[in-house]
Amino acid sequence: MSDLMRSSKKTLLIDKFMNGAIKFCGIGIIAAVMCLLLYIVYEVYPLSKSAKVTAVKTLKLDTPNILSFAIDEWSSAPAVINAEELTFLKLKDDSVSGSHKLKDFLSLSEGETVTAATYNQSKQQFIVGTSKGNFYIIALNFSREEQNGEWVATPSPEALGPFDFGIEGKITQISYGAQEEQKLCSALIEKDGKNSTHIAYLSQSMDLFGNAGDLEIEDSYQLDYPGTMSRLLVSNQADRVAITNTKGDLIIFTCNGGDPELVQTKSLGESENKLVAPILGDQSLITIDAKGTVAGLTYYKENPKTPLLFHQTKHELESMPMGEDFSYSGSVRNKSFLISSNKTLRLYNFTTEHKRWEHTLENNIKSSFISQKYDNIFVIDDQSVLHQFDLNDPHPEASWKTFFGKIHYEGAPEAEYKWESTGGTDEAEMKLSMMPLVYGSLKATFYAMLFAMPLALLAALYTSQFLHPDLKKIVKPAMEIMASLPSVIIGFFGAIWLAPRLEDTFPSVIMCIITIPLVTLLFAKFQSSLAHGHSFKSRPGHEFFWLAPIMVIGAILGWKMGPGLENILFDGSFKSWWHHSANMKYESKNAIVVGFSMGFAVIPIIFTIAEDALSNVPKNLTSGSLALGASRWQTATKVVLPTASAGIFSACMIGLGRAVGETMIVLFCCGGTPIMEANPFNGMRTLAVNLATEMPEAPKDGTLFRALFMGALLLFLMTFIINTVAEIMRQRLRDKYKV
Amino acid sequence: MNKQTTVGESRVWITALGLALGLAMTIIILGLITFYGMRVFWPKNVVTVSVPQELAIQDTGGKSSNRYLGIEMKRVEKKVPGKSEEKAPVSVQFYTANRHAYGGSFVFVLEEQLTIENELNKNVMLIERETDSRAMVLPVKLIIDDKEYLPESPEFNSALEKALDYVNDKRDQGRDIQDELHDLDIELKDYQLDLFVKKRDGLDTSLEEKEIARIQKLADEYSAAKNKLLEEQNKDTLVVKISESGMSYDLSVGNIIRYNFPNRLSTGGKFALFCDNIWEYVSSWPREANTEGGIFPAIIGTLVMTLIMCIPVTFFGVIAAIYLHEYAKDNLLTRAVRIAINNLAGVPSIVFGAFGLGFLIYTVGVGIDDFFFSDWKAATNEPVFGTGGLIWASLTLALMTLPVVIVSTEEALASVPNGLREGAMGCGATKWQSIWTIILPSSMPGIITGMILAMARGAGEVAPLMLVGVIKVVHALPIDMTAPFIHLDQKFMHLGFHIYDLGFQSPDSEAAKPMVYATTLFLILTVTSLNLAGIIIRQRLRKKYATGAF
Repeated sequence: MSDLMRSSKKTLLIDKFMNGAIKFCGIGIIAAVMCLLLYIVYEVYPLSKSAKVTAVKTLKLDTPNILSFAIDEWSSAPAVINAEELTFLKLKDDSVSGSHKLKDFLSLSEGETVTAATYNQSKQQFIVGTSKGNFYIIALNFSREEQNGEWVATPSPEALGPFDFGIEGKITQISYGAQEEQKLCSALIEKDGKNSTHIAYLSQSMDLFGNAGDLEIEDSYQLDYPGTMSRLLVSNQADRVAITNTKGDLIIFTCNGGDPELVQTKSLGESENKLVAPILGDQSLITIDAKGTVAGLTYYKENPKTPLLFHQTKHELESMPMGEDFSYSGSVRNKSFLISSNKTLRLYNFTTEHKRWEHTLENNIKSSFISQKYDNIFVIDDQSVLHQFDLNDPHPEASWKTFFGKIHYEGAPEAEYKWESTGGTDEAEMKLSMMPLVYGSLKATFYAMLFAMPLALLAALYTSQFLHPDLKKIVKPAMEIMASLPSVIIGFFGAIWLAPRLEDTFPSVIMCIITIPLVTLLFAKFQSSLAHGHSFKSRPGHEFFWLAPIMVIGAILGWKMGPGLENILFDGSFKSWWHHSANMKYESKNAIVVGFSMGFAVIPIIFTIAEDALSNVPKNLTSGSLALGASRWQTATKVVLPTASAGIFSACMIGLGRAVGETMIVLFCCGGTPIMEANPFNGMRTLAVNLATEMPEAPKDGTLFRALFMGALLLFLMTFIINTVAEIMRQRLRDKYKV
Repeated sequence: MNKQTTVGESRVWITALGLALGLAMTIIILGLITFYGMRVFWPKNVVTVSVPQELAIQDTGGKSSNRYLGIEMKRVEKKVPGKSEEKAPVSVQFYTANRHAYGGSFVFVLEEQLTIENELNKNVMLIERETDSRAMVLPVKLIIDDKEYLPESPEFNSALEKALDYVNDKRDQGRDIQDELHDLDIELKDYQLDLFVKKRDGLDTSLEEKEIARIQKLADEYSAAKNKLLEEQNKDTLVVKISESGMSYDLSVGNIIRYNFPNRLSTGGKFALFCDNIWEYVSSWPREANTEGGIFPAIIGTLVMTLIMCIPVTFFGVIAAIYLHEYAKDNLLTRAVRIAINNLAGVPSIVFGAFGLGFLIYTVGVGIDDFFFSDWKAATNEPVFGTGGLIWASLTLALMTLPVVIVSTEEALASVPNGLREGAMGCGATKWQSIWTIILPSSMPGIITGMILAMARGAGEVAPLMLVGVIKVVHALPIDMTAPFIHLDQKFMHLGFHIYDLGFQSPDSEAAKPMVYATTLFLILTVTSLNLAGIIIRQRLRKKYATGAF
């Protein structure tokens, strides 16, 4: 007895344990499966976040009237310049690490002072102009080395110059752009109360060993333009000068080594422009006028024949408050820029016009600065206080508009939806619109359903209602075999076998689509005219045996008539006809091929589920209908079809879900260009294909990576909604006819 | 006869047409792939083509020949746009092989410009080589140890056979040495890791340095032995020419893997060669960027991946199904869960791939690397589990096929009559006892069906694999004789990806096409037979438990 008790205890213990374990595992697995959605959302979520900016510290500088500000790549050693000296600081302990009296450093002549300075971030050079019309280039030459286990950036500034524009006067504004070979400097010079604008080309000779020689002035010119200049900007590429005047015009000169050429004068409004600044890549400009209106301009050709001109492309940039002090800094990493007006500071992304961050300081802002790595923001106010902010904005390109809105990209003549994740250069904009991909997915699905739905539903109706039950046992597994064909095989088959054949014989295929049903109908009429017992008369449920030869006859007829049709309707070649008459492209990998091929994958799914739904219609309904004298066709369409309609609908939905997410077939047959055209003979790119092609190369947690997950999320949601609707319909149907 | 009953008869025929077309599509695609796939292996006659002098082809030896050898591949009508009523000229494609001599493996000639000579050249040899593509040549002479054999001489064949036996012998020895080198490499890496760790910790490293020096010396010795073997392997030469008037060159016998005289074969011989070709394709490694050789590693890769996938998917799938069917109450939550699982079956496979890459590899895999292999990562700068691999591919597919197993198992559980459950309970069995001893055994066929169907789905799926560990070419199998025998972190080849890669991304797509058809055939055979098995078992099951509600 005690023995029995012990074993029973053990059994009970096992039972308890297993019950617990199964419940735990079961719920765990189901939760894990749900995690899939959560994870995708988790990957996408950071795209919706704005920039996170936190104040790090403030530092009172001893240098009054700062002209310009610079910092090394690692944001550790800022440099400020004013009329007297160039000062280097160490942010770590807020100390001054070095100071250079400009008088000695530049060996200025008696009475000559520095009157203007700007910083060129890409070259890490200050450019300073003096009261006597000379200008100098000060290269900061930051180097980084390890000291006591810490990385320390040390500057070793080096001055080049003096250079001059051939006119002695006070330089009040200066701007500088440099490429490998071409360097261009432009300045506003005041002489005897009169302003004039000058440019100078600089060149650096190279010796045989590729060592750079001395920098020399090559040529200098004076610029003539209407109005009085307000702001001046030389492009980073050193080939263009942009000037704004007090009347609110933007004036563009191109400078390609020779006499500068005035190419455009564009009015931006009535009031004086206080600022003109470049966006990374030099294709766009930002201007702010005295009222605070911010305009974004991009240069492009309106059509291939017109010249490259600047046009306003960004209209949604918020106005800045009116003010006197404006400052600007553009990132050298991406298309973000920082603008300030008096006390207000804003961070924008140029492409999306999305405001990433806004901040108000207590004092007026004199100059603002985005660090080279896009990880720090520095601001100097009119009390010479340096504010450091930590900038955390991993996805500056992301906004609602990036993925779902029309954007006027640089170089394009109009706003558009576009997917182009890799540009030609680092400076190109990432074009991450989901719209062409969603469009491609829907287009592929549409053609697949157009082909698959009628065939599958007809087959399901026939199999469930008319086919002999013995044959059903063969037919259903055969269709299931079709469902099990790996999609890579169907895709390969579609691309290698089907696409080239369809290209040559499209009219024949169209003819087949017409002739096969026609011949079948004729044969059906012939059949119904036959009396029962006739040797050619088909027994009910065996029709489809007779169809094998009929189909072949129809196909041959259509095939032979194809070229004739092509000659009559399409001038002998459908392809060139489509190209010329319809003025649309014909690509060999197109939506029709995708539709046909995807049919192989979708037909068996729709067929199986629809057939189940039709077969499950209670026998008493059909028997009743037949007993009342309805023909089998009438029973099928008037009784069975309406009863099973929910099931048929759900079958179509599930087929649709499969088509939307299909990858390999489309990858093979679609061509892969993300375009939005309704042309059925054109390729496309679907969400799934996009994932498959771009995912392996996307750097982890980058904007592209997350954008791809956004595609995955869209796919997931699309199929989830479609399938849920279908499933609910099916369950309802099942409940309705539960015995 | 009552007219009423015939209403809509002709429309019935149209519905029949839908079914007939659907079946026709299945038959056509299966038939075409079988046809094209089989055709690749069937030996064809090599004909001599002669073309006008201006169409003669230049070879890299500087000779031009207007009579060359080739196998006719296909004839295509070249349609001229706008002139479809005229008879289109027919272009014939010949497989010429000898890519290194002609610069391509195929030529197109217009039918009207060529004459195919009736007499077949009996001397033509088709040679598969270790390096470079196939050679289709006429032998000139065979030089073995300074002794020359002319192809006309009766000893030629036996001499060549003997030389090849010798070569194969050397090749086997070379392979053994290669294996030894592989083992040494693994050993070396271990010591290098130790060396790195000890150096970092400031410990004495003399032992490791000594061992590394020893291994490197040993490796050098092996390499020298291998080079010597290679030299011996290449001692004999077969002088060949690519056509009667084309260039001739020395072909090292050591480079020959297989050869045959296609024009000397009888039908029986052809059939034997056909079978041999299939065997060769299944059992040999790929060469020349997958365009030559076989698909052995792809078959093994697919198999191992599917089997590994099978373990978690069956285990967790069955548990989830038992929970859903035996434990969970029939409430709204269970219903929602069921909808969700059904839904999961409809989630596009590529989404699972993205999940596998983002979560399994970048999060879990990199986490494992940081935790367990941080030294290794620091020493070699190579990820172990933080990159695509067998385990991640298997797990991704397991997650994808989970619904298949759950649904199928639930179906099987539902088909177990309630009487059995009640009987077990009545006899005093606990719930777990009744599940373990009564319910699970009787639903076994259903579980196995689910497993097989999941395997079929997994074996045929490619899209997610492209993101989580499939690779074009591998140099080692994911299973071998060195511990831990199954290398879960290794990348692997896959039949489906092989098709995608060859058919879509191969530089010489025309040459790759036959290979793709052959691989397609094997993949279809695998998947279809798995599926057929699943379907048949399920049908039997349904009959057996016809009382069960479906």
